[in-house]
Amino acid sequence: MTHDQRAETAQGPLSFDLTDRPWLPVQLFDGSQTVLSLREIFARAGSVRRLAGDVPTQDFALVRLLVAILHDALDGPQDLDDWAELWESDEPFAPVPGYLDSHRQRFDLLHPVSPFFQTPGLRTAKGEVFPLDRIVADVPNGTLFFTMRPQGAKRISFAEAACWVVHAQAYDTSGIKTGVVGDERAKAGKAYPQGVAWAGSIGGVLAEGPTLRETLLLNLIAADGPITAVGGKDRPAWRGGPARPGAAADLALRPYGVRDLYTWQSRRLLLHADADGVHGVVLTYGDPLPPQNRQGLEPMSGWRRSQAQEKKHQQALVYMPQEHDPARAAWRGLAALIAPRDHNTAPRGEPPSRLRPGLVDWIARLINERVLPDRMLIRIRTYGVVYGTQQSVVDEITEDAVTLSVVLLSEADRGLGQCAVDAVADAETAVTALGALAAALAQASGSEVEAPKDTARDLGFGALDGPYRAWLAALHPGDDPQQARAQWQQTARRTLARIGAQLVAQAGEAARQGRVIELAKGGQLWLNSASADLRFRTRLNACLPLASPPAPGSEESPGGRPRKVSA
Amino acid sequence: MTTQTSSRAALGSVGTLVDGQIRRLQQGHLADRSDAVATLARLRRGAGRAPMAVPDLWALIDLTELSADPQFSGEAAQTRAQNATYAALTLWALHQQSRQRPMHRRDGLGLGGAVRRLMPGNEIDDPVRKRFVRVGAAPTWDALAVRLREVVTLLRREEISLDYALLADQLHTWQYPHRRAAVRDAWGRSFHAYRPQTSTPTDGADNSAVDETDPKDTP
Repeated sequence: MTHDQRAETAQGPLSFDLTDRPWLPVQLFDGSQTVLSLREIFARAGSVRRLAGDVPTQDFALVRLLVAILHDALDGPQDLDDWAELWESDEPFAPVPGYLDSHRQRFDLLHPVSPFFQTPGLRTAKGEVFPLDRIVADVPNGTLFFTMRPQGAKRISFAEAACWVVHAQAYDTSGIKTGVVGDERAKAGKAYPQGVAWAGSIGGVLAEGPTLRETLLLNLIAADGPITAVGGKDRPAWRGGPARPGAAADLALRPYGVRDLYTWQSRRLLLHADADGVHGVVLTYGDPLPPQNRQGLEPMSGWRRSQAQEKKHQQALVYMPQEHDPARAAWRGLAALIAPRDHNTAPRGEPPSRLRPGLVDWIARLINERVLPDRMLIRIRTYGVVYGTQQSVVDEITEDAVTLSVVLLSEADRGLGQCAVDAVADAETAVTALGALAAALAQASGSEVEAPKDTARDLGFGALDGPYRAWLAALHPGDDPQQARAQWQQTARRTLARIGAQLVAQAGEAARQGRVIELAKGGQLWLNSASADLRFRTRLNACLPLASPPAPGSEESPGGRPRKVSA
Repeated sequence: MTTQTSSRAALGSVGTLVDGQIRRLQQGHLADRSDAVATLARLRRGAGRAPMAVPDLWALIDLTELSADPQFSGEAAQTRAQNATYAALTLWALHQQSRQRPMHRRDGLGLGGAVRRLMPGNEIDDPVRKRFVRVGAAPTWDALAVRLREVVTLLRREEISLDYALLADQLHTWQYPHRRAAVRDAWGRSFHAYRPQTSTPTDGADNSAVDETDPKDTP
């Protein structure tokens, strides 16, 4: 079958050896981009800044692939000491070339019997082959993302195809797919929805260091932590037999560990290629993996307790992956990212409503055991896909990052981490006050309230975005949390008061004249720009109490400041 | 809160001048000194009218301090300072007429707060509110003077005092078109900030927002 559809060259069957041929897109320190083979990327990881795929989610999928290779090549790290040795080592990736040699056959994208991450001989009853758009993520929905391709994605290079194969296994959409021969789940040539591929169902989180070498190591979690492999069974996809159509037989027990999980075969697919490149694909469902309660296995996502799921599945406690809200910058989700697992506001005896990613627990362990210096900065990078229309299309790909000092994760100095989380809450309540101001101004002038409120909130969060990130990155071990928070509140107050003043100034004559409204508790209020402004200031001061400087002067005396009199 | 905040506000040159002149006249008036009583009667006739329209007043108001101030060296600047001073003094004189308590109180209520005090409890007296809105919306100096006169008449009836020094500074600022909105906002805030009872701590904390209301930030 494979031979029927794959042209052979005079030199024999087609081959694209991912261990030797460049395909992994990376960014170097001078900002330039290049592509590297698997062998090169580990050899040169210290001089690679980061992966740089066509879409951010490619980076997440590829890092997981590289980490799976490392776990398997090192068969570890078994514990923290193992890891510390790697971190200190000049050649932490030394076993990788030998490992790649021994699995070389499984890293051939076009191998006739064991094509990488694919299913040999995969076909439909009618032998159809489909356009590459199926695996080349189109964003936004309905518009080809790769508008720089003159003919769309009709034909792509082997290197690009390799990236998209890894991406499809991680992020493919749900919806009705082609039924393939040999898949018992297919009915009348159709494969009915089984959900999005694994990484698409979680809120992806990576720890990023200054070089790819550090990034890979930071995400390489020792087996003695809460995230553990099951016995010796954990292995990446290429150490099992080549995938066959239909779901794997042993799904109930799997994944056995992160190597299995990071290379999870959510799909069955097969590329169609000739000597000039890849021109088609057959794609259908592979191994389903429900996301409920995988927090002990999947370290690269935060988790939230879902009472709806608990009811539905009649289970006592169900955690679901904490997805990223594209409307919220990563720093606004900081609590979910860094707040300790055992820290929760729920009543005593209640399980926590949120669990931070296992990966963050791991980094925290490295700090607490003094393996990493608490002055070190890492970047927490988040990746997510928002699927639309019954998860059958990609609506949006989100990516964000917050840089923070690892001391924020430290158990010893919990105050500073809590301060960072509290500062986000400060921003939320203060922006809510700004939204209320916009709503009141709109109401005072008799116009619709919701849209101006949302606009003002966006404006507020947008204005706080840069300042918060700068503030967060500047937190250092030994900083006084109270003082740091006061500093943040001052920044937030200054920023939002400025926007508030602009809103009031722009509100116009109708808002200034306002209207008299009856209060529910009796009495009347003259709602106009002045009363809205006053209420906003009161609320801002109430929610940012540490920001209030001593108050000289009066807001009632614009003429009372001789130095301001224009001449 | 108005009471507390305005006490911290430094007066401008116009406000300082007005404060001094009214204090002197007010003392005389309350002591029933005939010269002060007579001066008040003459000033009252100018209330709500342009300074130049009442030549009788020219001699009553001592503007030498202003003339000496380099800040008001230009003719336009002189005129603005003069307008504000005349208006504040004449309105006060109207306000003070036959009242035996001081109607000018430095650190007293601002214009908005005084208007709010005309209304009972939590109710908004709409005719009064509309009159106040009309003051804020006055398109010209002359219109402003007339509308203020109406409001001051109401304040006199209820014997509600006003900080005329503050008002003088505001009337001065009002004449700079780009700062007019700031004055109107200050009047508006003073209205809403008025509390019948003693100020709460929240009200006090609110003063710290002052730096953002800097008139130069307001278009």
